[in-house]
Amino acid sequence: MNRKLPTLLITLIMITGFCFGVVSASAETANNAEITHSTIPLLVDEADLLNEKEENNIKQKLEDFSEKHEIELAIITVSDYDGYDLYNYAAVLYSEYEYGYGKNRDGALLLRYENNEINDREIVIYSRGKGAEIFTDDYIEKTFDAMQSDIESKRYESAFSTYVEMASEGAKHSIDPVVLFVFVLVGMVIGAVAIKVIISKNKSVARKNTANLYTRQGSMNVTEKSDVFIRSHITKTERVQKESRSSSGGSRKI
Amino acid sequence: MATVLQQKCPNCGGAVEFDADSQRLKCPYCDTEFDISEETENVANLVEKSDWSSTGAEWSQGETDGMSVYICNSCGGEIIADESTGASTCPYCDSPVVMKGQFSGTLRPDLVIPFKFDKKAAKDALKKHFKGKKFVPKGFLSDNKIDEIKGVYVPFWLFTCDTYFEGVYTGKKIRRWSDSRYNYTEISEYKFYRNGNISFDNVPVDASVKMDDALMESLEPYDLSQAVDFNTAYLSGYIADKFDLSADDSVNRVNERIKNTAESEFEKTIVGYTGVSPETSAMNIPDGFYKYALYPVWLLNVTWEGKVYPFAMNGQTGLFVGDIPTNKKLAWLVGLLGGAVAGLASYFIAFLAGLF
Repeated sequence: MNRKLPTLLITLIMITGFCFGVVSASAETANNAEITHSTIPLLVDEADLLNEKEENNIKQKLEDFSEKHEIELAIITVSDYDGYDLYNYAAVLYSEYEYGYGKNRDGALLLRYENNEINDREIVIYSRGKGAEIFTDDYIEKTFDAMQSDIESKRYESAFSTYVEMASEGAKHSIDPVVLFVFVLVGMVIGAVAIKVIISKNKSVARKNTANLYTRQGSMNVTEKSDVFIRSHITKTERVQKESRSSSGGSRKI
Repeated sequence: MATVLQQKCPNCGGAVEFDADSQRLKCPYCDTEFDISEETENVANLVEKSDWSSTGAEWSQGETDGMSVYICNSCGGEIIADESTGASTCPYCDSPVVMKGQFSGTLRPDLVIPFKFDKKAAKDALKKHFKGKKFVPKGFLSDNKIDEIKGVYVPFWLFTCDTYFEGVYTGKKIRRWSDSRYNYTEISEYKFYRNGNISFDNVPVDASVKMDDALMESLEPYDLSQAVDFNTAYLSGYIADKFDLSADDSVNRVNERIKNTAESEFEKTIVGYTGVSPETSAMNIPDGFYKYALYPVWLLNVTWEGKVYPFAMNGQTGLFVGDIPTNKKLAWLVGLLGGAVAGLASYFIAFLAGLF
């Protein structure tokens, strides 16, 4: 057996697989390009927890992350909210501010509530689409753990930076097992087809079940031709409304 | 190679052979070349009868002098050879053959297509056939043994007919549309009636029981325009197989091929529908006739690890066929495992390139 063959086969499959990746990624990008991201600033510091320099620094980090990953990362701080549950309030703000990339509104919002007058404080993360893939319940807890000491010490710039870093870390490692499985499956199918073609070349003996080669040219003459309608039936199925991706979130009183 | 039917050289009296390159008779002893003489040619009339029931011309008196039929004790194959041949090997199973008796009274071939490729070309074609094949079991290409290469005139029945065909097909038309709540699919079913005529010329059916039908059909097509009237001189240097499957016994096969073709040709007249398939069909052949022809085939048996692998070459066109053994387990392992590894690698490359 030619030793170069497996290498060639694998290279071929890899190129095909890579093209498949590019195509699916482009399709997803094109899909997301239909709806752009929010025009509202990614940092809204209503509770005035940051100074101007700190605000600019965090804003820059949020924008950099959002642009790189096409997952909109936002932070809002409030000192009051109108009786909502804080998580629901974050969901409302996320929707009102039209945060999120693409039609799945990929993104995450960190909402910090801090009212020193009544000594009440809480932090929540609300996320959607790819944002929800990063900020799973466990990962939100992990993020809060990483931020806790800074928040308790009121080092908000550092705490919010940690939030961006955790998001970056999460985005870096968000290997989608379903996509991975699809890639492996596609690779195996391509491999099987390639092998089928290769080994079919070893076979050249087969019966000929037609006599096309021996049809006298111009001898075919259709003397009777009729197309008769027999019956028809109609089936109807309810249209499936596309569901948006699930959102996730979590909160902590810190 | 066993020379099984001999003609004498008019110059030196040696046994002459048909030379595939020059398409003339050639004496290997004095190199004299000469045309097949008009005197030795016996032009056979084509046999025309309806319902495939014709018989062919008989041998003329004296024409089969010196010709004998040999029968293989092992596979039962019959071979035409000159009576001086004391022993030979069966071209089909390599077993020794013994003389049976005089060759007479059987149908005389109408046509013969002379060999255009010689033994060396057949051997070269085998090497070329092996070239570039993948997943061949280790040792097959290096350790195989080519048994004797034999030029054989294989008997064929050539059927010609005008066919009246009646076919009923079914098919569908599918229409899809939607409103705000539902998707609709309308499937309309149709029946199509197609009647008509279609004609076929010289559809070949291998008339030798022991010759593998698939192997012979894989060698098609032959160019019948280059066929000549039968003359025993063309058999010089080759083995000629006598038919042992009558035309009547071959009718089912030719009818099957003709019907399949008629069915698909008339199906092509149904356009604009999906899922068209034949429901019933009938065929009537009011006036068909057949000829008896000998087609040139090089047979090459390759032995490897005690098993014989048959290969064949169309002696007129050079088309070479024969299945090469494949290590399927290894092939599928490489394909599936390679595909999985490549898929995995592609994913990580795409991932690292930031496509996800």
